[in-house]
Amino acid sequence: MEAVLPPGIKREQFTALVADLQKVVGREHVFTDTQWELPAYNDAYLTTPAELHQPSAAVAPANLEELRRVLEVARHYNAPLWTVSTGKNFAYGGPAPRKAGYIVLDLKRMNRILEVNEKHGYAVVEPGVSYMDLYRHLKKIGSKLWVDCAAPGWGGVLPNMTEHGVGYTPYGDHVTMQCGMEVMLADGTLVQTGMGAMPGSQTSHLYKYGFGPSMDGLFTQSNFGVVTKVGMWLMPEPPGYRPYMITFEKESDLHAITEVLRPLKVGMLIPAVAMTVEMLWEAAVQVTRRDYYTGKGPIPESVRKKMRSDLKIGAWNFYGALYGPPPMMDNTWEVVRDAFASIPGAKFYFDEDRPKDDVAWQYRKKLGAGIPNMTEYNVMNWIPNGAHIDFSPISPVTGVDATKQYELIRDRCNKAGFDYCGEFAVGWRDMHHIFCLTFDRNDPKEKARANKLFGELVDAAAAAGYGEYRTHLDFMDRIAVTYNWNNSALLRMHEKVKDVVDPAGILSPGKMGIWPKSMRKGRA
Amino acid sequence: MGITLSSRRTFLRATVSGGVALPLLTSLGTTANAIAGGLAEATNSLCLFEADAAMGADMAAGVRQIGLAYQTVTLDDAAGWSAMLDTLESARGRSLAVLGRPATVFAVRNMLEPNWRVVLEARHHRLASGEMSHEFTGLEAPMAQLSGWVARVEDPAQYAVVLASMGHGGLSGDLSSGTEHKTLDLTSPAWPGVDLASLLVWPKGAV
Repeated sequence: MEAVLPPGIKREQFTALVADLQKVVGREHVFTDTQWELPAYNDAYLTTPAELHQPSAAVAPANLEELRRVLEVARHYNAPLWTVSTGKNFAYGGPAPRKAGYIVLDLKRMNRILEVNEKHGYAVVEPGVSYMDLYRHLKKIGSKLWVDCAAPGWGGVLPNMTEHGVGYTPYGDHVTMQCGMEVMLADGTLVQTGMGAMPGSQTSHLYKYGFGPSMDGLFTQSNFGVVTKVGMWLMPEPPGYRPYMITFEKESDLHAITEVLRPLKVGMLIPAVAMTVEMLWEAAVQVTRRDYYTGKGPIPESVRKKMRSDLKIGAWNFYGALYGPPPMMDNTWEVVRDAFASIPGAKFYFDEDRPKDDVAWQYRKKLGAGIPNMTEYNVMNWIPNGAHIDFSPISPVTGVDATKQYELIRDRCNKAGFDYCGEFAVGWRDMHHIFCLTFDRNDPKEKARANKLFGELVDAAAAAGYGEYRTHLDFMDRIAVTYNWNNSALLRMHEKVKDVVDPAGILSPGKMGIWPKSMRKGRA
Repeated sequence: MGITLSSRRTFLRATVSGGVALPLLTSLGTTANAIAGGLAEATNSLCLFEADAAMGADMAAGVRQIGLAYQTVTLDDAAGWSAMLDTLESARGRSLAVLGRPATVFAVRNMLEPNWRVVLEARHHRLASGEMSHEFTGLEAPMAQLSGWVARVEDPAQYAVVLASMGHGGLSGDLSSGTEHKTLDLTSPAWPGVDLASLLVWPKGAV
């Protein structure tokens, strides 16, 4: 891998810049070696050439003062930084920067758990704290609070929230559960949002909105500042937890499942982020494609039927959970069961009904109780050199929309030679439809096909009125311009904010399609 | 057998020239524990492998027999993952041999870089012919050493032991061939179990 320079910076300037960064954080925390160090900041799941996202360096400050001085150096040289926290945002770009030459601002050393408040049910964490870290800490101190984690538990509590990630318990909407934020602006100013803006505040992590405009959302999925601390509400361990699974026989059942589900979800009889999961996702965490099929193209129905039978799964598989005192759970279950029993062929399972070696059930059971694990990563064993990028449109919770989105994606991905592997994460009033586009990362032709397919999906979804909630680096601009109502008024407002809070444009240029003034001509 | 354990290289040369093939490494563990202990000390290596029946071998037994330190890896629970991170924290300065299913090895690698050096990575998968394919990428020195051994390895446990014997102590001084990454494809009789990936990892400073 050849070394690259930050855009607009000459070799001798870069040498001086690196020396200045080393003075701030120490030599061992500035990474420039293209053979041994910088590959850690590549995206292993790219569908485009790695050179497009190759960083020039990475710098890892340990605290606020070092961060402030790193920003000072970046402003002095006009060097673009790309902020990552735990760097595990795989499927959406991992730790790689939007463009070649950026310096990765790696916050994983800022990994303190600053407070756990058992009485009020929250924790305050820095950017480098993973779900595993927080879970471990809570266990160590004997806390009765639950973590709500992303499926791969190595993800960061703070960055998953700022990327609008979701978990699987009733506290699964992470942005909703965030309360209190500390942000360092590009000029080094430290800001506390909400109630934290008052010195000596007693309610920084209890009331979200403070006095005046609520600013927190401006710093999620954005490049307006570096979020250095957040409060996250944590769910107290309930008196009972009973996860369940309902399998459905037919592909066409998706419509009925979604219609049955909506009133249960809106009425909070299903309190957690429930999941409607297509069969291949459940298969891929426990077997490989080659175990069942060695042909090319999508797996035929006859083979899929055998997989369903072997693994005791349905064409669709619904995961939910009951929480609360046992009598409450019993009552709720009667309502949930009766509703889904209206769908012919529905089969109901509790823990005691599933095989002990059912990998899919075991990890989803843990996720529903906020116990982090990495099992879902096994999806990458599905094919040789497995990699994925996720296409993630938002869907209304209706049978018509779920089916329309499913067919829109399935038909195009089958035509492109890929299997549909996806799930719907059911939130308060929406579903995050996650299509895990799996490809062989060592096969350039397959990567090119995946990239082309992804672009087609963005356009087709937008034409049907569906937008994505999150995306890979390579598609940030393409998706940002689909949010173009009233001559892209929202994007232009984002750009105005960017110009004010980061006039030099040093923070994550291009993140979510927001470019600083100096780089807008370079928008892809 | 008259093996001098002053270095990993001496050990390998002696065993190869003496016609003592693997599975001799495992038999060494039972016949000469002192030698096995010496190997562990000489290589200063740590094996990390996936604790799963799908590996096709009793990894712990195989590795323990030769006297090498090991840590099991799992994606399935927080305690296991945390134990691995604790072990890595205390393993600074040692070489690591990592073996598991591809997704697991990918995840472990992401916890190692940029503070460790992945000097060799490999993919091990079964071919339609029934043979095992081994695709290596990395430094020439450890790859050259491995090339004489892979055909003799019968299962993942034996491979893990061989990989662990490629510690930086003996080899990092033998980088006359440079640090450019090379590739090498080899085949061997089929291993039991599923397709795997592996890493040979040296501490920062070894290269």
